[in-house]
Amino acid sequence: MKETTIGAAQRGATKKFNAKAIAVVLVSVLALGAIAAGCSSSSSSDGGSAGSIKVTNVLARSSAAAQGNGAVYFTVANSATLPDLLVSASVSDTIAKTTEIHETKQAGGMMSMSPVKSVLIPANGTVEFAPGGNHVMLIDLVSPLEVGKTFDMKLGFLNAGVVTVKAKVVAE
Amino acid sequence: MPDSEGNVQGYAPTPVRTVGKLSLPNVETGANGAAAPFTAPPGGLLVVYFGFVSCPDVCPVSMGDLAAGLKEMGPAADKVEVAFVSVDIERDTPEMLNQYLSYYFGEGNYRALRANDAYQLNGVTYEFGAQWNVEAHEPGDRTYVVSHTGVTFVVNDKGQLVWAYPWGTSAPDIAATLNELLAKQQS
Repeated sequence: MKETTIGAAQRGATKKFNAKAIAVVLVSVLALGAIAAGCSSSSSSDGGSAGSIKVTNVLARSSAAAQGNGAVYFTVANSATLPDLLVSASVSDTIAKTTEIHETKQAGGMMSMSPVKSVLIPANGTVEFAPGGNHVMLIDLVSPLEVGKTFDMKLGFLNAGVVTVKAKVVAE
Repeated sequence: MPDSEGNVQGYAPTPVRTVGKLSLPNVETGANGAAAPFTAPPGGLLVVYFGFVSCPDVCPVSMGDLAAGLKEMGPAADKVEVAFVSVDIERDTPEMLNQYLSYYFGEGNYRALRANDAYQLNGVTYEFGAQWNVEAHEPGDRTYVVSHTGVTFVVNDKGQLVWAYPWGTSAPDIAATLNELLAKQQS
């Protein structure tokens, strides 16, 4: 497993009781409760949950060998009364060498993509990671993503902790 | 053209732009490919997309949806050719372009267009009204960011740019659009 280093936010996610990290987002009993709940995460065939965060519909597009890169899409629902942050994403280095959280923006008809440090998941809100928007980018795929293939992905949330999900490769 | 909900997917650029006089090397048969003009075969259409091979999000989705749309058209799709124009000539080799396009459209069912330099590429994108940008980077850096137009263009057999549909157009809408444009062309 190899995680992308993305600064203080992620370090906070790793050390769950890092006081600075908690101060970054929210200082409250509820937040602490969410962190504690995050210690017991579960994963199912397509999604997973930790604390108040539930990740579903985890899909990757199949890729041509020459492409070398891939994208994973999913839905994150936050049932807490406080927001959370997605701060890290990782897959096994048998899948891709590097994993980053990316955002595709459309401005004046031009699409451009850039890495982001975190994505806000609003309180009682849902965020779609979908084509043309946010996605997890798999850089330097070890082998092309073939339809039907599944692989594990870990998503790190500042409050809820780590959610392990199974991504499924689909044609479209 | 309206989709199932009655929304128009795309537009006909006006005044009519003629792009048939433009051409780029088709590297489908190797690095020193012959110049291929932006004109559809007689009675057919040429679908033109500006992208790059290592694009993880926008291009694969656009190519996947186009391939699915062509499949949905059935035999009528034989009249439609796909041209993929690389906007990342530094990283996209002819081999990579061919592997990539064969994956989506089958061997030989595409034009892999790769300009010799940025100047030549600009000459084409200017006429199409397509934009692209390669992030400034040190020589040898392979991680630079490429931005590009998300629009897909359709050219007729007179070399006229007859339609442009936006990013996110679904496969059924692509099929309906191309069928309608084909019918117009034959009438």
